[in-house]
Amino acid sequence: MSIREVLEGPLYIVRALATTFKHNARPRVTIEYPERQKVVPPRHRGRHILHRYADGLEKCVGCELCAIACPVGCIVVEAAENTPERRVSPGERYAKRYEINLLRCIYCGMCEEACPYDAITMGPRYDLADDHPDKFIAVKEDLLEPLQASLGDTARPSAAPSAQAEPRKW
Amino acid sequence: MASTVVTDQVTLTVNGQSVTVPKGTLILDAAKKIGIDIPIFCSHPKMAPVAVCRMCLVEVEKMPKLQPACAVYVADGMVVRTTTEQVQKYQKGVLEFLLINHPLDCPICDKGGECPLQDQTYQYGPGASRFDFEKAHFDKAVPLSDKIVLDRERCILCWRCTRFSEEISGERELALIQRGVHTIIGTFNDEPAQSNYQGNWTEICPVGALTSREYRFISRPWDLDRTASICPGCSMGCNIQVDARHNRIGRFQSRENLAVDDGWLCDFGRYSFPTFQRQGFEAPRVRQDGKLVEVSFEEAIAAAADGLAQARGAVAGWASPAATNEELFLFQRLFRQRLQSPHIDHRAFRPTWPDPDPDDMTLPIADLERCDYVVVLGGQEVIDAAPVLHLRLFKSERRGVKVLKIDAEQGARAREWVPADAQAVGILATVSHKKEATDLQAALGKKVKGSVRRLLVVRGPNGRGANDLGILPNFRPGYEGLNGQSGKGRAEWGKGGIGAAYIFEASPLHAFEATEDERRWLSGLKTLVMHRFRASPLDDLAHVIIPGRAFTEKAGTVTNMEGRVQRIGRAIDADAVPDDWMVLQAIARKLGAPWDYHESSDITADLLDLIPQYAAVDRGERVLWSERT
Amino acid sequence: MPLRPDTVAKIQDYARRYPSAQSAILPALWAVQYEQGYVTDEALAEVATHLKLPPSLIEATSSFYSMFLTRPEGRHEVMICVNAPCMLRGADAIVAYAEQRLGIRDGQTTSDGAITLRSTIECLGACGGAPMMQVDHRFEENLTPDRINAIFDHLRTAPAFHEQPPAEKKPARRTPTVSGEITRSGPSGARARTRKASK
Repeated sequence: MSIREVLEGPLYIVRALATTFKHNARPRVTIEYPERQKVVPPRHRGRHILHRYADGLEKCVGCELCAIACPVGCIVVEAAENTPERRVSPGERYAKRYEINLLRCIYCGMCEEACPYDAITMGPRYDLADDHPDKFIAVKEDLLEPLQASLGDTARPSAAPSAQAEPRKW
Repeated sequence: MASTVVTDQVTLTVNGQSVTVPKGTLILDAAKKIGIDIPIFCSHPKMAPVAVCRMCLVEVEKMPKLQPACAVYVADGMVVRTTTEQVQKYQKGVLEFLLINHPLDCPICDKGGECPLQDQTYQYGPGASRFDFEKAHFDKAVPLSDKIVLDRERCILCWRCTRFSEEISGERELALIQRGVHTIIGTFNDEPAQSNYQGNWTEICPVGALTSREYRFISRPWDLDRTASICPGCSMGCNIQVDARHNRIGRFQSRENLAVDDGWLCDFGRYSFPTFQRQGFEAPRVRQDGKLVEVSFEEAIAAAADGLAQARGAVAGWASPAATNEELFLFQRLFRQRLQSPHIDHRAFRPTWPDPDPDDMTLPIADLERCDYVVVLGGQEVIDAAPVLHLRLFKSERRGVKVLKIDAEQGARAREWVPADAQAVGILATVSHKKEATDLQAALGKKVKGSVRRLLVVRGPNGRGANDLGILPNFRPGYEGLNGQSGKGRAEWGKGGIGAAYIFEASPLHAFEATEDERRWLSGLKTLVMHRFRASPLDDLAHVIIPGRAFTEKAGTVTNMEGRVQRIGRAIDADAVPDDWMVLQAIARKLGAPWDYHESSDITADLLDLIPQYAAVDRGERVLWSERT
Repeated sequence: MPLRPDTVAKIQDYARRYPSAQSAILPALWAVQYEQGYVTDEALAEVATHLKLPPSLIEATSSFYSMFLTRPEGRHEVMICVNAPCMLRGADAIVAYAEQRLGIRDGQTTSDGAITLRSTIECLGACGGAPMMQVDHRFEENLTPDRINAIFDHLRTAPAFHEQPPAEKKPARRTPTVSGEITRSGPSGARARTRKASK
């Protein structure tokens, strides 16, 4: 061991500690879950959301394209006809039953891709743990966005009950 | 010059492939013969060509413009090309035009998934629309009648439905109203359509313009479980496909059998399926101290066997003409062998009813087209009993067959009407007018040079099978006599000597339908066993009620009125209810029978041993009793 | 409103004239319109019973042709041709004048119910007398504002076509005038002028 090496030794220690203290000043990566929730990126594929138009009518028409696009077959849709007394969606048809088996779902987002009315999107919610398999069958009421959330959303086109839901141009 | 041999065959070339077809074939059919698919909308094999949709345009050498393959007949040496650049350009153009005002609401359309317009757009159409303007809007979801919903936006004006109305059913209820871009399909003055064949419009519509009210938004075609079966509506035996989803019947679709239904169904049969829709599972019930108490199937079967055994020798049995051959076979064995009571019947109540015989069906349905003269004895009554017969008769009439529809009592008129030089005469009648029909047949047989045959319309999808299998007091299976050991028929049950009754009411459409007198004697019985699918008015008289299965919930064979043995399929799972034949077997086993069938097909095998003619079932053919040795 | 017996007789006569009753639909519909001024649904149903054809077929035919009216309009129908030959000879000005004179536009009826104006009519086949118009079932050619005034004044009081005595209901016929030019007979009091006279 040369004299030079002995003299340089503390220098290395100082440099190493500098790295350590530098990280002290950096912002923290961990969060206090579950008191604080993680902010997910906008395209995060979490639990599905069924959307409404700004006037509260559901966007879903029960066409079952999500169900047939789903690679694992975790979606069940049954449609029914809107009546003047009970209008659920703008057109003639709405989803009477809409269920997703969240255990079987692989969160691939194909349902979102297939949807011709942008009625279903993958949402931000990721904390889906529960204590019984039955609780993972999300029914329509679980998936629909709250009425209030849609009413304030002016970005979405309003649909008068008589109007046709605008078909997607292909 | 080489001399050409004149034949009825024509040879042409389609896409370089040579094909020989008879003269008078359309290019479309010639191409189909060698597996070349030409897209079509308006063309239909059972209707005359109109060439209005222009989808089938093909290039024919030496013709300056593209020709519609659905309307141009082949010629010798014709050279047809279906995939050239020009043809493809036209196909794209035609589809682009068709789609300009089509709403493209496939997501909410019942046809979506089985729509020729969808399929052909994907296969032949342009990838995108260049039409940037507002589409023309028409009325949506117009009720054309209580059965059909019309969407005028989706209509591409192929005229199939109006042509059906004109050429197939002859009612001409639908017409094209207005002209040009304003053209719509409609009935006169928007009055509800009355036709009994409207369901066929939905099947031939190449878009989602005409859809069924009953099937509205029920399912997507890819979700359906499809089972081949036979229509339970009448004795015609039209071939159907039961489309079910989530174990519930969604619709009956036609399953073309040219010999029987010619590809059509009547609305009575097509929309009869809600009758067979299961509402839930009910428990068997047994009357204890005057009240019906729910019990298990084992207990109910034991109670039934016990009650019937006590009246051994004096048990009346009625089986519905909608039960399968297998069930009826076990039913008559149970009564004749185990209960020593040949008092069995399947008929609706009539004071007098002539006995059936094999000659009631010497005229196959398809042969109506080959007769020169057809007498419909009973007129509308016959059509009501088997509505699809009307379509066959109308088709025959269009081909030159003379059809006379008269009341059953007017046989004398028919005798004069048919000329002596007729080659083939057919007589149609319902079974209740058998005497008039046989009288007329005998009279015409003397007058006419050619053959005179009759076809009787029986009651129920298996009314003919019930006759064949001896669900009659005086015939064994195969129309064998009973050597003086005849039982009592339904008309005589009320006159005394009957201690118990077993009513096997398999179908709500062909139920027992008790008269007031019959209710009276049924209420006096010691034991009345009701074995039925749906609650019956006789339930309140019954001592034992055994729930049965619906027509769509069992497998087996049924025989239509012309004697064609056809299979029905189990479209719906109803495992909580024992199959009807199992109940019959369980009762028989309680009475000491050694039967040990595990499948309904095991019974078919035994049935074939007894009546070899029924081997026709495997060929889908008619039972020919004349082959009897 | 049931059809008059003479109209029914006419329809039945038409039905006998053709090998197929279908051919008699158009003359029968004309008979109805001559009698009632327009074609109602009840009349369509009645035509169907007289011709023994399904009513849907009658409706299909009547709705196909725009000359069968489905609702009552003015007593007189004035159709001004605006196709190329008429346009070149001033049809647009004629239309403008007629509209201003009557105070109505294309497809409308004057408030007294006398005249219904149609000014988007395609060629009526009388280009030789352009600009021209058809009044009820007669042609009026070589139109000028003066002639239009005279015709309209006459129409204000004249009975509707289907109420005129049969003698006046002559179809337009080519009649040579004194000067040898061809013109058409107009209503009385508004004799058609020859081209020479208008100059």
